[in-house]
Amino acid sequence: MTETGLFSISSTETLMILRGFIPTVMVVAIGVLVGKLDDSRHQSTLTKLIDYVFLPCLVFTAIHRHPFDLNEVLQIAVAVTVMVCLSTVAALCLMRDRPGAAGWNHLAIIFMSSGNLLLPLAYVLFGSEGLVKGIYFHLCVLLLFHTLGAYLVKGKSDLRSFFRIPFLYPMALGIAAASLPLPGSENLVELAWLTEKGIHIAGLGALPLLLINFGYPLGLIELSALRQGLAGGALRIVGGPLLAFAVIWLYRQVGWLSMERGYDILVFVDRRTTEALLILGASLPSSHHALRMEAGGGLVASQAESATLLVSVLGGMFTVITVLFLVDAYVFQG
Amino acid sequence: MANFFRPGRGRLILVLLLAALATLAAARAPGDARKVRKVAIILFRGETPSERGFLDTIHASGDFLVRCRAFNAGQSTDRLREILANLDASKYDLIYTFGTMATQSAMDKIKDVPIVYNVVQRPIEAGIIRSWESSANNVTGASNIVAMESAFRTVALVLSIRKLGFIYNDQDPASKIQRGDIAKIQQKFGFRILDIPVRDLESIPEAMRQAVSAKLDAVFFPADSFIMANAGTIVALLNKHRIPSIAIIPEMVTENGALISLGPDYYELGQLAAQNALEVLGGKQPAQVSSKTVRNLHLYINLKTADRLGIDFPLQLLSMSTVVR
Repeated sequence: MTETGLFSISSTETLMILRGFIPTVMVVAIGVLVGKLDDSRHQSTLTKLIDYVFLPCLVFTAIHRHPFDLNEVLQIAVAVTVMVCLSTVAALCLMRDRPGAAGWNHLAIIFMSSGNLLLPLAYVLFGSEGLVKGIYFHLCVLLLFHTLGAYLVKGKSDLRSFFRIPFLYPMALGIAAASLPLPGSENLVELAWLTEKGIHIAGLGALPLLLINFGYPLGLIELSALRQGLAGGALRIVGGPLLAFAVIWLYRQVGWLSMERGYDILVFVDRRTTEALLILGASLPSSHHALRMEAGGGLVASQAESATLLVSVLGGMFTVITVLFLVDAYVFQG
Repeated sequence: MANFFRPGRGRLILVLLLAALATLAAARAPGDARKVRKVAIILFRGETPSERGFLDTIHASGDFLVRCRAFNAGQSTDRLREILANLDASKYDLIYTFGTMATQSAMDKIKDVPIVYNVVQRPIEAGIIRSWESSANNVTGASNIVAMESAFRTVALVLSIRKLGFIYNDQDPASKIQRGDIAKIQQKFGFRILDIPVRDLESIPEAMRQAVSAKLDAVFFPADSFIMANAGTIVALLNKHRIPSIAIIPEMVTENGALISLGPDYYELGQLAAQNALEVLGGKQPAQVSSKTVRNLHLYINLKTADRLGIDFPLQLLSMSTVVR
């Protein structure tokens, strides 16, 4: 029964945060172990399984049950764009990449793990509503990565590779399915529900696999590289949430995420969930995108960005949980 | 100074003090100055938080000393008819009614005395008022209307529903209206409705057998006085068979163990009805006093039931709901 000004250790919300966060860390740790033990380097197979089978199922399941709302997508898209652009300015001004590195480390600072980490965490903490918002967040990050990110390291954007991502297509399919009427025949309805159930189960399988995939390369990074990643990692996990809080403050000021409670509490809950998701997404450690783009096979790339990733993951274990308590205290209950 | 304490002066001080105390006491007893008004309270299922809100507000009025007399039908339509048949409405300045059935029955009999209704889901569709602004008759009040889409968006956050049971009293017109509202959104939320009508206490076990054998994903409870009165038995059976129950009336979550409810706070509804009653007692015609609805809906979650059913609520819902443990 520890009571503090911010939270009570025995409160339902605190237990809920811990019940979501601790298993997530544990599955990432299993991923680290798998990476260490797997001499044959099967991560590319794991990645393909996730990208082509499990993640599309998860995306379809979440999206097709959720009424499409353009305003919701725009709120997330604008926030992600503003945060990524400001992070880019901060990374370019404050951090110098090593000579000849073509800005790979900058990518590790700018882009958060919007797929591997955000999607499972959003689902575990904020339910299906959070997962859908997480999917929109991830989509925006991917678009920015293949345009702005590719431009930073290659000098030109790579929209073609963006459209090759399997993730996009179940999303479009899910939006279409959400607007289709139920089949008239009872048998067809039963068949549709049965199929949906199968897709749903496969989709849930994506959640631990994403976390294992995130943990996989972490164990391969040499600890001696940690010092190189201190500044970049700190910028990612501290600068990210600060930017998100600033964006949300701005949204509230202009009334886009109004604090007006209104008649329907769900509209209010929905706005607060968007805020929570944006803050959570912005506070996450670096993504694998840069590593994958540079190394090709999904394994560890060169030292600087690997070190940034590792520092952001280790530091993120403290900052993410702190951010979650702040979200609960000031966004949901504030 | 010495003269001040002479016996004559002491008596004067005592008299003045007593006079001041008497003035203060008179000021503390506003009832003397307030106009006396009589209100008949017609209840279908006993006192609820809405009546507490009504009485607290009306008794706090500085203008009227309201004397209330309650008539409880005890969930019996026959008893309700009997109460109304024996009620001499002309003895009262205002009639308060709870629920659609009691209000409609009162309206049939009482035409000259103002009626203030409370907890009526769809007053327009039930023919109680012509519009929210003006009833065009001797009625005004407060409605517990809930947009069904809001209720189902709440449910969709935690449950995947394909077969939804709708349990209702087939003699209550309000339930049928709510059934119609849900039918309109079933396409959007991708579920089918299975009707579970109940008429009396004897029909409940059979209705529950029907619900269990249909392998329902959830059962929806409309704002229905008869169902509310028997919610304890019904919800316990559903929980036993691990079927989630979704309610409009918060008491079903706080007292009967239903999983979740999205609806108005009944105490607040009572306060709103009392505001209308005070306006009418103050001289306004009921038709001039617009019907009221609550400004916010409240979410209630029963965590004990959720644990039993193996349902996890997302953080944002837990943080922003009234949680029953």
